[in-house]
Amino acid sequence: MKTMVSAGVSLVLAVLLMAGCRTSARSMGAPEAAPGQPGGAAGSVHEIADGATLSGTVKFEGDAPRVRKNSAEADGVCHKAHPEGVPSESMLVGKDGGLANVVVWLKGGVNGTFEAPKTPALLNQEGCVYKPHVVTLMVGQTLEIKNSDGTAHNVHTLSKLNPEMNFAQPAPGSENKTFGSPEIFKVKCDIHGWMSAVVGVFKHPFFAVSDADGKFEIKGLPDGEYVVEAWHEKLGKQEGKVKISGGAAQTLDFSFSDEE
Amino acid sequence: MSRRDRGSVWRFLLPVGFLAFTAATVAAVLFKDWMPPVASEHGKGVDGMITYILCAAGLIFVAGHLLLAKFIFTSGADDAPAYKPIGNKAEMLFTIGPTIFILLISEIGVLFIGNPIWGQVFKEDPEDFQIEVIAKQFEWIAHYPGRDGKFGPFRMEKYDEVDNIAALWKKDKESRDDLVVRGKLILPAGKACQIRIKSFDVLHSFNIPAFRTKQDAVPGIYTKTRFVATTPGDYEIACAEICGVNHYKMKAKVQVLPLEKYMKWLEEEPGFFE
Amino acid sequence: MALTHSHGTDAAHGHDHPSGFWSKYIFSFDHKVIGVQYLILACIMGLIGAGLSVWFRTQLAWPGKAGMSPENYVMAVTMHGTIMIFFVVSLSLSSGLGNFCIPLQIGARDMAYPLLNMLSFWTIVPGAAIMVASFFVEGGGAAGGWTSYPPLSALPKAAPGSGTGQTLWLLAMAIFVVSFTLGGLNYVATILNLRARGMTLMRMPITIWTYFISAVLGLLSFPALTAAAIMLLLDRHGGTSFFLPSKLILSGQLQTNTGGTPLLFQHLFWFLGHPEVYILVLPAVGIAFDVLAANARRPVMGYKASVFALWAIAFLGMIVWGHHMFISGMNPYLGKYFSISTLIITAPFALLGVCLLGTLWRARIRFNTPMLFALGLISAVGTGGIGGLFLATATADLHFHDTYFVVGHFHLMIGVTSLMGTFAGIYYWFPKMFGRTMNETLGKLHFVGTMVGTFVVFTVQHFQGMGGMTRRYYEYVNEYVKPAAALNPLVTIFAFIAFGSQLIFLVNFFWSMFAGAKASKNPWEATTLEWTAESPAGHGNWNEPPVVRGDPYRYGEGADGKGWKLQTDA
Repeated sequence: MKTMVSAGVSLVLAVLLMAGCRTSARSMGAPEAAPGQPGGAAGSVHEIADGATLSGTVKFEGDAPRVRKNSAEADGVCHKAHPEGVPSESMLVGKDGGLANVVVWLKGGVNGTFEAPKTPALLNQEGCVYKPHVVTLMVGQTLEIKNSDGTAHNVHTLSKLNPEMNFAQPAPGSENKTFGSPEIFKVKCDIHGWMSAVVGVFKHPFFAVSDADGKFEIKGLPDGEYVVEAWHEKLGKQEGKVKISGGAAQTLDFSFSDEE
Repeated sequence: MSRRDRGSVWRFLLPVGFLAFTAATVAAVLFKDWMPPVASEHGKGVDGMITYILCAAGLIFVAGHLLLAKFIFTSGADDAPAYKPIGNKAEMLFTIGPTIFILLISEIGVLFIGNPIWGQVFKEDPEDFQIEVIAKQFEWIAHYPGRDGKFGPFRMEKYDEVDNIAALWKKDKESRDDLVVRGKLILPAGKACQIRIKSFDVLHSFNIPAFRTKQDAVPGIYTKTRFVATTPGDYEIACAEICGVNHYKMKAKVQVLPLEKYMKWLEEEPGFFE
Repeated sequence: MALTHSHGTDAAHGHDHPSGFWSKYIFSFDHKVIGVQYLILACIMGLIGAGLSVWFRTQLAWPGKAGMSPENYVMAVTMHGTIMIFFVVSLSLSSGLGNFCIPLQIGARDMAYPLLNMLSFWTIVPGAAIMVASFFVEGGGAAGGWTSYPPLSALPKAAPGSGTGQTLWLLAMAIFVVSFTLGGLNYVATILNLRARGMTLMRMPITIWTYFISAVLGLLSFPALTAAAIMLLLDRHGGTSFFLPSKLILSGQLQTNTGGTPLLFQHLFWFLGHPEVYILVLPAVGIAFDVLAANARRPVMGYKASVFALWAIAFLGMIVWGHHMFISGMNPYLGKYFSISTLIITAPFALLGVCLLGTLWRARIRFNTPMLFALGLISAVGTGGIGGLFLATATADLHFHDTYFVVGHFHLMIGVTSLMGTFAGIYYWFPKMFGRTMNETLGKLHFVGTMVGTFVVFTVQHFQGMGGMTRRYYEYVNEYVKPAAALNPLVTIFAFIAFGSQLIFLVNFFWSMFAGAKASKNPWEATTLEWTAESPAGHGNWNEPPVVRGDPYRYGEGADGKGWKLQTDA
């Protein structure tokens, strides 16, 4: 009898162990990829109001690609918001070839720790489109994921360093999430495949997203030498270097092209 | 004595219950058309098949319940004389008769009504319009071969969920005039369409209830189905094989156009790389 | 063996039992105790399984009001199916009542391998525990449907429960199969070898035939599921690709598998899955035959024809699994073959049905609770079987596949029919289990609630299926389905009635165990062997093993004018 009991107990234990192994394997198995860690040891919290400004333009070389439209007729609510189809935001080229939605951030050279803002960043699902298309925030800062539509969405983060999230969100609804690791990743809706957004999570506040004309601006940079990365969801990433001294403003331009 | 009295309630109640159930079921079949309005040629055949079984099975259903009710209602009480054998001949007739009857009606149905229609659904005819339907969690995408009648090849590395769901490459000349429509299947009325179905991820089922069309989408292979839409109008695709959390949201619109309008749409719509 | 010898008395309360409580009630070798243990485990699992259905039925009737997310929903339907089929119906009908009645009805002191019998019960307990535990792991329980078709069940990210939950599911299923196979071996060995003197095969009650046939079916078909489960586990954790083709793109990410096919799993699954239907239905029909004969006070009609029909069903049941896969993407010619072969089953099944019905011809019916359930079973098996005619026809299946028509059909067969048989059996053999009878008033209340509740629920579901209402939908958002989905509140209300009636049963079952009216040795004046043992039967069942001198259903006989004769009577 005793052997039976112990066999049963060990079986259950084995199962629990397996369960445990799986979870840990998942959290450890994430590939490195994605952005590098901003360097620098822990230091004082910087006041970023009085620093230099880094600005510039991101350009797209070549003809502006055609903006594809996806029919939203599968879902009546989405179709109503976009009767002509939902234009893709993955490659938006503005005037003078300015490339929008490029994440520009300081990849290397930043020292110190920075406190996350108390105000949440917002990713709104409105008219079956993510607004904004690119949302940036700091590690520990709250991201409010909101469904303002009359239909259910499914929020699916394709993150590697942060735990992958995949949850259905009935309408109307709102979820607050925070991220523990710096990473740029895509977010998609499994129900409405045209819905795609980019979330950038950073350890420091030195990041920006290029506007419709490709312009960006990062403020409050302390003196130092930095590696700047420009990241575009389809065109990949580029690096530049910039040296700030005496609080003088600097400019840095990037240019992307489609190899094809 | 007391046992007999208690029994008599059920002797009445059970037959009434069974008969009420039978009557309600038959009434529900007779007085309401439950099926969605049919809008395809083979769909009428499917409905015919279903009607045939409804009549045949309905007969068995009603006869069985009438007998059940009768046996219960007329059964002897406990103090009735003991059971006397019915006799082999009557028992044989009672058992073998219905058995052969049911076997005959069901096999005749499937051989002479069912299988020919089944054949229509899987017929292959080069004259048919070819359309590819792509299933993925949780969407339907229609892919038309365009004017050249050839599907562009699938280029894994070109796959993009938002901009290039069919994974076409602009350097493939078959791909240039292909049409890719998300969440909507546009079809001609009165012309046979051969649908090849594929899935990127898990099993799905391509189900247009109004057409009586249902075919699983299986990753790794193309599955096929064929239909002739009869009536222009709007219909729906509803996924019929569990495919994950949002299975219930996996739907798409089916738009059946008159043939001329459809041909016009095919002509005028710019190709994927045009 | 030793035990069956040393406890050959009819001691009911084990005062003379040296090993005390644990070996008598917990780790007992006695087939009757083990049978009751299975029944109690099935009651517990039944509360969970049926409770899940109450939860998702509420969601279906009043979307958003049940506190249920789509993740919860797919998990609940998956676990409801799994638990009900494998841990409620299988455990109560096949394992529970089977264990209890097989030795008693064939005149054996115990099963052929009492130790193995105890082991198979204590194997299923951790299996059930793991299945329940899977609710509480990350992502929740399995959510790929009870059929757990890959790739949905093979790729951890394809569904929320396809992570740890699915692994535990597979593990619990593997344990279930081990237990069920041990049980099946025991049944076959017992029935073939331990029959009492004079108990020829053609003198066995039909119940025994059905248990024998279902055990053989189980032994032949469960290995396919075992293989499928192991292969799926390997696909999930061992890096193989049995069921996973190349170039899978899940959520925009390319998977690394190559060369498998999901259809293979479906073939393996249904190679078990279809015989499993008969494994669950046939014993219920068998019990109904016994109960009908005893309470109609006449022998069953067509004993030989029924036994023949059972074997025919079993044989044909092994070669028709493809009718679950008409639209799965297998070769359409196979669809034609499986249609034709499946419809041949209607013949033996109809034969079985008319024999059930014919057993009421010239009957003198005693309307006690087991009899009511047996009568209800006749209607359920007939109605459910007729639904099968539609689904077996590939052409009609184009419309009905994976709709509520299927749901209504298989619930009538393996839900209502099996459970009506189980209930008939429990009410019928309860005196033999505990020496007491169950309360008749509560029993009849239970019958009315079950009958009305389940028949409304599952018949209406057939009509919803005709309206094209697809299965496993969290909410019905399609336009075409609105008329059919409008019936959901009605179905749910009757589902509540059906569920509530089972609570009455549970109360009655546990209350009567201790406080029911004392029962005599043969309270139903039935003829089969178990009624020659004491109520409750002691360990070893008889002082002197019975000797069989006639057919199992000797009603309408008897020289002394009482109208019946025990199987042991001259």
